[in-house]
Amino acid sequence: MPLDPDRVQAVFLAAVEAEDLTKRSDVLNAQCADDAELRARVEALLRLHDQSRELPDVGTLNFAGERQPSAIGPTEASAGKIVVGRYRLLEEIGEGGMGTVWVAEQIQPVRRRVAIKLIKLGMDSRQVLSRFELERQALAVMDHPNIAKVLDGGVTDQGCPFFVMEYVKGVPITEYCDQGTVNVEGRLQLFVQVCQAVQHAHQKGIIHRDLKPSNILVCLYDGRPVPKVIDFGLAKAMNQALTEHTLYTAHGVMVGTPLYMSPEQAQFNNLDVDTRADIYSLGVILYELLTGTTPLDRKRFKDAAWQEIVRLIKEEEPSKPSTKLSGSGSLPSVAAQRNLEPAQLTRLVRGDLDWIVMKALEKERSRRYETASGLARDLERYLADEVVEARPPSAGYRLLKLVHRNRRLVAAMGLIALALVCGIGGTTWGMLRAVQARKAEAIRAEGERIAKLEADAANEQAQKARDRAERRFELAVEAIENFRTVVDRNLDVKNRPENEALRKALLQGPLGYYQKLRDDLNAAGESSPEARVQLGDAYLKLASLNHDIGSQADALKEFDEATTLFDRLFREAPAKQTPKYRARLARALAERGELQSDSSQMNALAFESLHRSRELQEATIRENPQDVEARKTLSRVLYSLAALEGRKGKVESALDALQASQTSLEEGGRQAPADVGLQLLLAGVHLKRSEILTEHRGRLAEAQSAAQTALQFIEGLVRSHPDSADCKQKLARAYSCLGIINQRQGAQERALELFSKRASTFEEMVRMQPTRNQLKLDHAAALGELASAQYHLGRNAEGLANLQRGCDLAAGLVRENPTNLTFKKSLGTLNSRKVFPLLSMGRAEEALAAAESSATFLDEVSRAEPEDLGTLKDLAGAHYNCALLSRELGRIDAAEAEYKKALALRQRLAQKHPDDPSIIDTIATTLGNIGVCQEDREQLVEAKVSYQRAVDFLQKLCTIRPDNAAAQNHFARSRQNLGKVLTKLGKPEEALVPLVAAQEASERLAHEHPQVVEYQDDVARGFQYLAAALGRLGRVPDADKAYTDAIGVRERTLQAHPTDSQNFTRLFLLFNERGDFERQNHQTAAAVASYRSAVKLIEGRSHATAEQLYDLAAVHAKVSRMGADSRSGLNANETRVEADTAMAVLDKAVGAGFRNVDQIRKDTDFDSLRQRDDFKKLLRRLQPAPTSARTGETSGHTDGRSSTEK
Amino acid sequence: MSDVTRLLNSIDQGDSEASEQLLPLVYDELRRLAAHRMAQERPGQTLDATALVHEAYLRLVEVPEVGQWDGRGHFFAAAAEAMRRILVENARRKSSLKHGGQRQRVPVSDVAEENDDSPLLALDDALTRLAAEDRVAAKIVEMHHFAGLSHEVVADSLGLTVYRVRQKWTYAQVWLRDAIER
Repeated sequence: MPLDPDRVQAVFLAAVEAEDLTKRSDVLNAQCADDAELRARVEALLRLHDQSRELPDVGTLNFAGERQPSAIGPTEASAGKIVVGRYRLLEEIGEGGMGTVWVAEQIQPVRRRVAIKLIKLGMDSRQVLSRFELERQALAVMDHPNIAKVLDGGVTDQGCPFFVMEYVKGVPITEYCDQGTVNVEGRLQLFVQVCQAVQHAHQKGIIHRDLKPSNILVCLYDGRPVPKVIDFGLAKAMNQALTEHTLYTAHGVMVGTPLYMSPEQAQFNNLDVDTRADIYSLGVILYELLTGTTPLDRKRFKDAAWQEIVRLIKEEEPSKPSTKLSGSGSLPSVAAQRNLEPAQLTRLVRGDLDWIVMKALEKERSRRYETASGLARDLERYLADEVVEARPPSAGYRLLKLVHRNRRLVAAMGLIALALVCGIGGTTWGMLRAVQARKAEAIRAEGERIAKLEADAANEQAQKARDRAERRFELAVEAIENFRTVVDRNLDVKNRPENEALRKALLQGPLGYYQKLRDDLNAAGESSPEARVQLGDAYLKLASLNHDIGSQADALKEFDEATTLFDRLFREAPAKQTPKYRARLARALAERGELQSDSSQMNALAFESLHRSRELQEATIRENPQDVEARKTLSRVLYSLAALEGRKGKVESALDALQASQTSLEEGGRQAPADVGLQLLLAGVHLKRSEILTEHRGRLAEAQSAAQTALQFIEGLVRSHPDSADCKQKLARAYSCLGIINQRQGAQERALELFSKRASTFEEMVRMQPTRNQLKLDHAAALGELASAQYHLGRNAEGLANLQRGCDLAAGLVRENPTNLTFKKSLGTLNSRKVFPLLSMGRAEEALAAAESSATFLDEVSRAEPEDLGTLKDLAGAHYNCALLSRELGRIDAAEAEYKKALALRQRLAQKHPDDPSIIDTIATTLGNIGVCQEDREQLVEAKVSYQRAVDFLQKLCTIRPDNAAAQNHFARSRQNLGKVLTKLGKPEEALVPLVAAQEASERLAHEHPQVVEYQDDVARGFQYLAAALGRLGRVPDADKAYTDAIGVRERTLQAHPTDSQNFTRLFLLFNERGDFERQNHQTAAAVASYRSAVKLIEGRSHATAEQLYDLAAVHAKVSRMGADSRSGLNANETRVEADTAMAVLDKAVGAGFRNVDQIRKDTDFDSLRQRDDFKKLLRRLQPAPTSARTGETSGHTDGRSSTEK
Repeated sequence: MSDVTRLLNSIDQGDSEASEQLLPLVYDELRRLAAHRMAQERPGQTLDATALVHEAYLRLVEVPEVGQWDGRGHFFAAAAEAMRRILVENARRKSSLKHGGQRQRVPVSDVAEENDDSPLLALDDALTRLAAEDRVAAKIVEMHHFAGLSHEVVADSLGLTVYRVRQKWTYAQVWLRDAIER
């Protein structure tokens, strides 16, 4: 009966996997039972297996012999067993790829504990032993307290090699340090001892070859930690190079680790290993002691195939320890194990320790520390705070390394190639010269020698490697670009702004890739033009990604790099190649220029970039007029250039650029009539022309005709492409453009119509594409702007309706995307637009609610984006509005609190832009208003401080903008306020200083700008405040004169502007104040005259408000009171008439709605009426019972305050 | 989509004919590559089969985007078979030259001239016999020994665990040695 092959295989495998020979025969006995044939077959195979010979070579190099040790072969070890008559095995303490480690008791010649390493069967015993014999002599002479001695070695009775070592009862150094939370200094001190031990061995000519934490045990002697290096010389004895089966057992279990292995050891079958291999391993251990991880990722090794591991060891440049730490998620725990805060650890490692570790870890061993003691000394220098020997690798060194790495390639190309690599630029060449000439010479000589021998082979291999690398590189770039496209397409940020944050987060991925790519390409040196193009492209990609993500500074730097690179390529390239480089250079310049023009400080640079790009593009188009894409790029460049020129006020240059763009686009349009993109660009050119003209004085007519042209052109475009959203977008912009022009020309109705068309265009687009949230946002914004225009025309109701629609749209977006900030910001802005329309409709409470709601939304946005200054500004404005309205509603406390919020925000803005005039101005305004609130509440000292601060800010403003009338005006007003409050504080002398200075400024302004009513107002107010101060000083005639001057100014204004109710009210109050002043100075007749003037003023009005009537009644009452004074010139009858009139007018005021009964009761002006029955009756009527009185009081209060200041 | 990619897709969807069409394509490419390489290399230098296979892969298969189907497994299996054929043909040609064949140089001919290639032919023979008994074991030898693919790649391609692959490899080795020496 033929044997069942499956059965043979199963039994064979069971036997092979048996732990020892006894178990193996157990398996055979059990499985084969009495099937002798099966048993014979399996035993034959097992014999072959134990011989561990190879399959015939297939003629390949890299996998010539798969020597297969029966690593899970039988061993005879078990506790209690006596080995070679001298060692009794006690306990297994370890298992490795090569065998097991036991604690044993040596029986003779001395009794002591030892460690025995039993090598598994299957390793070639003879070879191992003969090597060990060779090493043994050397091992015997090693005598160092930090080295565990190798005591004995041989072969067991079963033919299994073994080694006997001093038994070290310790734990691996990394474990010891982490468990004992040993600090960095303690770790370094331990490590220095290890270095010294290794140095000792090296001096005796012994290389360890397998240094790793598990071979460096720390044990405590007298409570002091002492590191001991074990296994010295064993690796050599076993010729342990990196092969697949040093890493794996026969069945795929990874046992060893190449993590600590030097690149030269990783080289297949490399016998040229010297002491510097140990330095490398020490470097890895030091790295791990500092950072908690090995330089190459343990996880990657686990997953990688063998060849990949070799590649990693030989090629992968590890990150510096500090970089590794700061990028590590486990930094907190790693730091804790070192008894440090995470940041402390990173700081500590950065710099010297980084360089020490990296020097030990050099792939090129000649760059490492020469000796272990050299490494130890540098660490000691570090511990002693001295300058370390390790230094960051110089550029020259890196070039040398490059030449070295590519020796074969360089050699193959001969000296010309070398010169090419080195001669890329003057700097590189200079660097090379800086390194020792001798070294360069050596490389060249060696290169020539190899060149002769291996020119063809090297060439071929280099080509092959390059091809492969190229292919991989292209694949990677493609994958990354695909990713980016997928991100952009799926997130559709252009239309769905809510995805912006996610997009930025996702783009970090490609960004990281390009950063690595750039670093790689940089590190590899810029050899071929192709490589430099790749590098340049990588810079461009990086720049545009950084631009997208919002890191403008980085983007600029990268554009600079790309430009420099392409520029050099372009200059150096042979004529045939130039178009390729020129296109790239032009693009890099264009993008850099656009970015630069965003910043006002870089205008000159932007000009340079854009001009250069323009020239290059024009050259491209001259050579190839059919290149529509080049025309498009050129048009974008010209557009940016025009915008830039426009901003700088160079209208003609801007128009020239636009004209050039138009010509080129029209030519392109003739060649590619179906290309909508070209037409859209052309539409943009028309629009820009109009926009630039609009911004410049005196060219509004031209602007209008340009806008008309644009509109007609775009309307045509929309007709032929009715479904194109881009066309519609341009249409909306054209409406807005023309709308603004009409507004400025005073054609308000037409402007309104255009703004409303713009809003409808967006509305239509929203209907067409309801998922495009950006359109909804645009629609809401358009409604907001339309509403503003309506507000300026006094059409508050219509404006409000539009604002409400806008708010509803934005609120819907916020509801659907509760975390999105753009939508919240829009809702906040729209709410703030509601404030003034509502206020002018007398709906102050609603206005306040809108302002508060605006503040709430903007506050959320600002909290999430504290660096967004635009939002900060808007938020400050919202709080300012809240304050304004609270004050309007008589809530002085709330007003002051809101003003203070606005002030705090504006001060934050000022920190960022300390010299921004508009910020200084708003801060001063806010301070002034805080002062007014404080003054209202009679907190005069506080008010004085606020005014003084406002004055200081405005003084600064006036030094920044010496010729600005508004600033001068504001400065003068603030000084007036300061003077006024100083007078009130009883310091009229002090008050005169700011008041006189302010008066000079105001009069000058009023003289220079006679048509500006506000300036006249200021002059009048100045006189009034001066009069008060002078009055307090007792300079009555001077005060009198000042009052006369004030009245004169106001009367003139009244004549010129009879409907100016503010001036009217102020004149009335001025007469009153003068009357009071005269009365106090006992100029009774004059006082009566002043009061009468006041009365006359009101009586001349057909309609008077309740408030005015009240004031009028008060004046009559005051006059009647003066009847008692004989100097008043009033007779008894006149006095009585005045009192009666006062009473009648007060009655009228109440009839007109005046309800502030409290004010009536307390007002001293009515003292002369208090005893009259009709006065008492009036009071009773207004306040019949205490309960209803309260409501009456509140509403009266409200009404009473709202009308005067309008 | 390249032919090979298309075929790999079909194989993955269970089209067994595609598998047959794949081999010649891969074979041609490998042969071409090998010939090209060998022509450039010094006598005595040997082929790096792994590199060849990977290169053929890069040339013939469109590398899938992350997360998509990856037909590497089928490809490597086919490539290993092709590689085995190439190496064996090479050895045959050389031994025929040695035994009085034409002395003219043929392109793919420089493999280890000083070696006696008959063991390779014996191995090929034995491997064919092993395939009759254990197809998977034979395939593993083909992929690991002839194409130099790591156990991980082999396991991945054949849908086995690495452990199982190593077991089979251990067994196949002794089986083959037994077959050759017998």
